Parts: sequence; C-alpha cells; structure tokens
Amino acid sequence: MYKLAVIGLGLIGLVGCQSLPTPETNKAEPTPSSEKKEIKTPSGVVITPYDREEIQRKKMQVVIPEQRSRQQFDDGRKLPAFKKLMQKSQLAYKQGQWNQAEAAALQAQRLAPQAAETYLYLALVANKKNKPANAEALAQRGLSYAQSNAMKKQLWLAILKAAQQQKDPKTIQQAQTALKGL
Amino acid sequence: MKSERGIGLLALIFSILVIGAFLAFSIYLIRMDNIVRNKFEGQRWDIPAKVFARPLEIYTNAPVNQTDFTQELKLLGYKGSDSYTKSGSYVTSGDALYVHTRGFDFGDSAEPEQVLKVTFNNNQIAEVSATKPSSTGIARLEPLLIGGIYPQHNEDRMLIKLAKVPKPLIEALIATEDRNFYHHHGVSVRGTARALVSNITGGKRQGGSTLTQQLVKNFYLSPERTLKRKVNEALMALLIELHYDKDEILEAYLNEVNLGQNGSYSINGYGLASQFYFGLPLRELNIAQQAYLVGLVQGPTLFNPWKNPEGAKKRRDIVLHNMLVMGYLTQEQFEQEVARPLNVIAKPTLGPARFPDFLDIVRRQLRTEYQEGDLTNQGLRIFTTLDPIAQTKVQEAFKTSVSGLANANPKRLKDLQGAVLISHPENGELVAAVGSTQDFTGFNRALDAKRQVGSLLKPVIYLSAIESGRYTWASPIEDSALNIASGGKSWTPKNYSGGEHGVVPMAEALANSYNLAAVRLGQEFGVSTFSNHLKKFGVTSDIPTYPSIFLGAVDMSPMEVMSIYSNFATGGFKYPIKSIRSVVDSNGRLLDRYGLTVQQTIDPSAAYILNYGLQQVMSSGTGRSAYNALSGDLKLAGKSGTTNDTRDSWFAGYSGNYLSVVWLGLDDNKVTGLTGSSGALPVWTNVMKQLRQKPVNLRQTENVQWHWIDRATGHLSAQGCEGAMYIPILRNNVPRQATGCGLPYYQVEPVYNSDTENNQAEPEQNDSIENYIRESETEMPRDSSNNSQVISSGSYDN
Repeated sequence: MYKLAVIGLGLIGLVGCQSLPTPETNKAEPTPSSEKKEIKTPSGVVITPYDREEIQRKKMQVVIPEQRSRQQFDDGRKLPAFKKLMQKSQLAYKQGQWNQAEAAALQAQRLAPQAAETYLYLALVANKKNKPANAEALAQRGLSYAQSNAMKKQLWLAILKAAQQQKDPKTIQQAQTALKGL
Repeated sequence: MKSERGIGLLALIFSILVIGAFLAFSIYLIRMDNIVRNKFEGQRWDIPAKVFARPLEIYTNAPVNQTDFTQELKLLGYKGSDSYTKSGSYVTSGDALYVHTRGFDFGDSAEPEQVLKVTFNNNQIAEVSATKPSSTGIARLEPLLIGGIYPQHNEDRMLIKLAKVPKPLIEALIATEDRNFYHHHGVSVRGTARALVSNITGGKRQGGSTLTQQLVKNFYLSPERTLKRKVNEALMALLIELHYDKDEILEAYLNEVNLGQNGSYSINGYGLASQFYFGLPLRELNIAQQAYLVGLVQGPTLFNPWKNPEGAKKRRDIVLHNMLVMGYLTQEQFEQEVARPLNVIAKPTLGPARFPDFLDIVRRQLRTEYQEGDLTNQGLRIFTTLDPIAQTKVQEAFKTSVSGLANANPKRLKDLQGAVLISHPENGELVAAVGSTQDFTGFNRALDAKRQVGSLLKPVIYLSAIESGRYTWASPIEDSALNIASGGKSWTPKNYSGGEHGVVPMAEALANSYNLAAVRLGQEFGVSTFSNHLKKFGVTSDIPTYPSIFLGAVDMSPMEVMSIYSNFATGGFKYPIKSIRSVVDSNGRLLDRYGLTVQQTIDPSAAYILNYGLQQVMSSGTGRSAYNALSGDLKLAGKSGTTNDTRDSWFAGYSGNYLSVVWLGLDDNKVTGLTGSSGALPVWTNVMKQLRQKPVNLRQTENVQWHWIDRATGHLSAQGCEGAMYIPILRNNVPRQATGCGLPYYQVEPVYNSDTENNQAEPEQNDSIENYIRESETEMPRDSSNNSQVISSGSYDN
C-alpha cells in the first residue's frame, strides 16, 4: 500500500514536470523528499534519485555538444539581387504571367537554393500550369526550409490546392490538419 | 513560185523556232526565277543549333572572385586594356574591374551592351555599378559558345546583319572582289570579257565574277566549270539584281561565303570566320584582321594562317593595298595596318574541340526531345548549365590527377581511363563533365561506361536500416562470415581486407565499408527493398535480384551513380540531372524552359540521419584522406567503391553545393590495383578542391535529435563517457535508459506538487522522454566553467 502511494505520488510529480516551462539555465531542483525513493515511469523504468548529503554545488568544466535549434540556410537574405528577383516573381505571378514568374523564381533559386520562398512561387506557378504533382513536391521541398509559420502556411495551402487538383484525399487531409496547427 | 513558197515555209519554220525558243527560254527563265526567289526568300541556310554555357551572373555578394571573373572574360575573348571604350575590353584597377560588355540576346530577355564596374572583396563581388539599369540588380556576361549540333553536310555559320558589319570590311571586299558592285546589274561585262580573253589566250586564270555571281555560284549552283553553269550563273545574277537591292545581296554574300575549314565542317560567313580565326566578334576586329578575312575569299586553304602564315599575311597586305588604292585607307592608316601581325588565335576553339563530353550529354538529351533536322538547320540556341570555369579547372585537375596515378604504375595503368561528373545537388544542374582522360572519341564514359559500382550502394542498405526504426548509427551489427544460398548457388562474401571485424557500431561498418556487416544487414531487409530504392533514386539500368547486388555487383554509369547520390545530397529529394536550361529558336522565341522538377524519395529525417553516416566515411572512414586537402568545416559526405580485384575505382560524394562522382578503370576491364580510396578519392579530392565549396547543411527535421549514445548498450550516454557516440536519431527512437556514466547529464525533475491543477500536461506534449528526463545538452552552455550545476547520481532499474 505504502509502495503504491509512493508510485502514485511520483507519477503525479512527473505530470507536474510536463506543465513546467523548460528552464533557461541549469538550476538546482529541489531535493526529492525521502518519501520518493523510487519513481516508476510509464515505460517501466524505475528512477531512484540520489538524495543524500554528499549532493553539493560545485563548478565543473563541462563541454556539451550543441543541440541545433535554428539552422541558418542559404536563403538569400544577404543578396539584394535575390530579393529583387523574388519581387519580380511575385509581381509577375500577381499579373498572371506564369512564365515570367517561374523564370524569376528559377533564377532566384540558383542564387539561394535553400530559400523556401522560391519553392513557394515555383509551386504556385506549377499549380497554375496544371502540374499539381510537381507543385506538391516543390511545396514539400519548400517546407523543408521554411522557418516561419506564415511561410509554412502558404506552402501547405499550395499543397492543399495541388492535392485537390489531384483528388488525393490523404494529402488533402494532411494539409488541412497541418493548416489547423499553424 | 515554188521558191517563194519555200522561203515562206522557211520563214514560218524560223518564226516558229524563234517563238518556240523564246517560249522555252521564257519557261526556263521563269523556272530559274522561281529557284532564285524561293531560296532567297525562304530559309537560306541550314543553321546548326548553337550550344552555350551558362552566362556568368554579376551581382552584389555573388560568390565570384577576381581571378575567376578575369578568366571568364578571357574565355570570352575580352582584351585587357588601358581603356574600356570598345566592347569586349576590360581595365583592371586594383580590386575593381571595368568591363565593356558586348550585350547578348537570350531570346526571352536581352542583356544590353554596357560598362560595368565590378569591385571584389573577400573573394566575392562586393559591388556592381552599371551604365544601364537592371530591374534585378543582376548583369550577365554573354554566354560562352561551346559548340553546335552540325548538319550532315558539315557547314557552319553564324548569321550577321549588314548593319552590324564593320564598314572597313565591306570596303575591303568591294576593293578586292568587285569594285563596280554598286553600279553593275549582276554581271560585269568587262570583267567577264577580261576573264574570257585571259582564259582563251592561256594567260593567268581569272574569275571575273561579281559578288552577285559569286553568291549565285555558292548559293545555287554546283562548283563544276561548264559553259552551261556559267550562263546559268549570269542569268541568276541578273535575276537576283532584278528582285533585290544591293544591301540584301551583300548581306547574303557575307553570310554565305566559304572562309575556311575546321576539321570536318566548313566555316561559312564572316560572323563565324571572325570567331574561328580571331576568337572575337566581327565588330571587334581591327582593319588588318578584317582585311585578312576578305583575302580568304580567294582561297581559304591556300591562305590558312596556321599552315601558311607568310602567304596569309601577303594576301592580307594585298587587300589592304587595294583599300589604299581605292581611297578607303590613308597612307598612314595603310602603313599602320600593314605593320600589324596576323594575330590569329593559337588554336581554333570553335566546334567539337571545346568541352566535347559535356556537349555530348547535351546533344543526347536534345535528340530525345527534338527532331534531328530541327537541331541541325533551324538555328536553335541551346542554353546549358555548363560552368566553363569549373569545367576548365575540373578537366585539368582530373587529367593531372589521373596521369599522376598512371605514372606511379605505368606498366599497369598507362591506359587508365576515367570520368568525372559535377552537379549542383540543389537543382540537379550539371556543372561539368569529363568522359575521358584523352581527347573525345565519341565514347563518353560519363554516360557509356557501365561498370560495377562496388560499395557505392551500401548507403542504400543502411538507409533501410534507419527507416526501419530498429537501428541507429550506434547499433551494434555483426561483421562476420556468412553464406547465402541463392538460385541454387552458394555465395560467400568477404571483406576487402579479408577476415571479420566482429560486432561493430553501424556507423563504423559503413565508414570502413565492411562487406559482411553490409550483406547481413541487406539480407534483413531483402533484395527487393534494395532494388526498389535504387529505382526510386533514378537508376534505369537493369537491377539483378541476387544478393551480391548488396556489394554493388551491378553495372552502372557515373551518371546513374550521380542520380543516386543526389537523393542523399539533398536530404531525400530527387532533382533529375539536367544539362539544359532553355531552348530558343532563331527568332528568339522560347521553345522550352527546363523548370525545376523535384520528387521526395526519402523521408527527410531518415535522409538527414543517413547523411551523418556518409559524413563518418569522410571523417574517420575510407574517405578521410580528403580532409588532407579540403577543410573539415565542409562536413563532406561520400562513399568509396571498389570492385572485384580492383577493376573499378569509384568515389561519390558531396559538399553543400557540389556533388561529384569519379570513376577510374581500364576500358578492357583489367585489374588496376586501385581501390576507391587510393584511386578515385584523390582524383575526387583534387577536383572538388578546384571548386568553391559550401558546407553540407541539410535540414535537421523536428523528428531528429542529436544524442550521446552508448555503442555497447544503445543507451543514453554523455560526452567523455567510454563508448559514447554523438549521433542523430529519430525522436521516437531516443532511448529511455542511460548508462551510469551518462546519467548525471540527464537530471530528473520529479517536482512534487500536490496541487494537481498546476501540473496538467500540455495537450501537445506526448510521453516522450523530455517529459521526465531533462536533457542537459540543451540547457548547458558549451563552456560552463562559470556556471554551477548539480552533480547527482542515481540508477536505473528495469
């Protein structure tokens, strides 16, 4: 009975952890009470925290490999020519000049091959040119580089349209789900 | 009476004959007129398709250094000068170059002739100023002509408009070939009479033809010397003069006249002749050069500047003298021009001599999409993806490296052959291609050499393992002998160095190219999974179904290998390899633009993880010697391949912006003694060193995390712990256990709070490990010497 109570408390403690924001820096966590000798996790792993007096605070030289958080891509942000090309592509697209829009986006893609924006316009043009399979693939490729939710949304919209053109219910649903989450 | 009747009859017969002859002559004349007009007003010439390299794009922050830029200018025939008043010239001033461009019509857009100031800094273009505005901030140099698709009768020409022809050239032509051109009606009576007398009296043979007659002779008639042909020539000349004005006739002449021979095809017209002899457009020739081209009309073979330079110069001087006599040159100008050397280029660069292997790839692609006739006579312009600077550097490095290998073992390797292909993985554009260590013979090894690929296909096996979710790069796999029964036969694979390596982490098995481990793993996922992957990646060759395919017992061309590796280099996307950007017809109408097509072939998370394995090959495996010459920051990825008894030596690998495949071997398939690492890799390294590389930077998907994993147990570990590997793994595969050494880095946060309302789990979070094990990696700075942390210990029990 006592053991069950301990496990229960431990699990509640874990649930509590889930709602906590990730700490910015390392900090000492409260020493678990002696009552929580063992913590059983859902996977069956039993955690036995060390809670004795020898726990101490001291400086330690530790080099921890960096966990990548936000990658920098070759996305043309340092190239004025890239921005102008994309403006040209956008303008041509708005004016219904698909070939010009495609040509400018292609040229921009050569300058900055990892820019999600170029893939967006190439996908939009492909949809307009009735090439939905390529449009979907281009937008997927764009998603692999998209950093902002706004860009992701545009790309998913392009995928949704391509999927609708292809009458592909699975991809339609996938796109709709993704759009809801953005 | 009788005689009167007889006379009348004769008169009648005569009249009928005269009328008949007149009618027959009229019909003949009408027929001839039709011939003259049809050809003159229709398509006058079969114009071979012209193939161009990519145009160099000049814009702020473009990755082009001053050396490469100057080299491009030289390839295009620009002259370094102290002024840039003429197109085709440039001035170097410290870090800046002033270039007077020639302008170019791309069909769908035109680049104006203008002066550019290009400033360089830090190995790139820092600033561009131009005299003509650009909506994109990009200026383009004209693309380099790399060859043509020639018709059966081997004629080539580059059409020019009369307005673009320099005046001195026309004056030289008139002064030398037909001084009365603007006054006669097609035939010069005096000239013909003089020629007749000279021919009859046995004097020096004289032509006596006007420019119009010469045009007729070349344009409509056979070269035979008969009276009938001479009469036809005169009649047609008169007809042409009747229908067309002098300028039209002159323009046709300037484009028609034969001015030389380049191998098996003739050089026709002044536009092409100018490029052929001087490597410059016509308008950039000086008067002496123009005079030389005019002098060639009398006998291009006789006055060949490379075979008979003295005769060629004498002929040129005669033309210059004619110009002096006719008052087109002053005495001072004449003396200045006569003093010039011929100044022809050392070796003609037009035609099949320039980058033939790449041109062959373009030609083959075109022939699958266009009719042969369209390619050889419609004057199409083909804009390709070739980077001439990269191609020049790559082919030089390739030939130097291969000859170095051959010289080290001349007995065995004197006929060592090979191929190299370079592409941009992010759009599939082919940048350079070399298909031979010698001159092009038609056998393009980049496409035609289908050879066994050895270990190049192993990454496909490891990809299946990653995709299965059952393996990480730290997973222990067994490299031990095995025997496989297949099709009634037994196959016993062996390691290259023999022996076994026991249980090794998967990354090590790939990095060191262990055969037994690869076959064991391949067997787990099956031959069909393996061959399905290959087909998906773009392999078109037949793929056998026996297990030795795991070790690359299948014939493939370097181009097919490139297709496979492009899927790895892009993080799971296939961009078909393309060598053409667009095709424009003779009127500048865009016929085809080769857009960007892409297809996802590998889950990007699996592709990202696979990339790590290929990077391990370069950092600690069979590809590690590449880093002796290339920067470690490039995070290169690749794989070597060696076939039975070292008959084929392969290396395929990539940086962030170039994918390169190298094959070396002997055409008779004899043993070379070269492994992928000792043969193709040094060549690959040398080739890649010539190019401006960017680091590999695949997108790390949200489904991939980096962790320290213990190679013995597969549990979480930490840096510094024995047997720990820092590897990317699928989020769902992150272990939930840690080794004793690694555990301190995974703090437990069992914060107990009785207020359960504050401990509600966020709906988006799942029960992954982050919920109860906090990764110290994300929260600890790289150097935490000034920080303090809780040192704790504990244990995990299952």
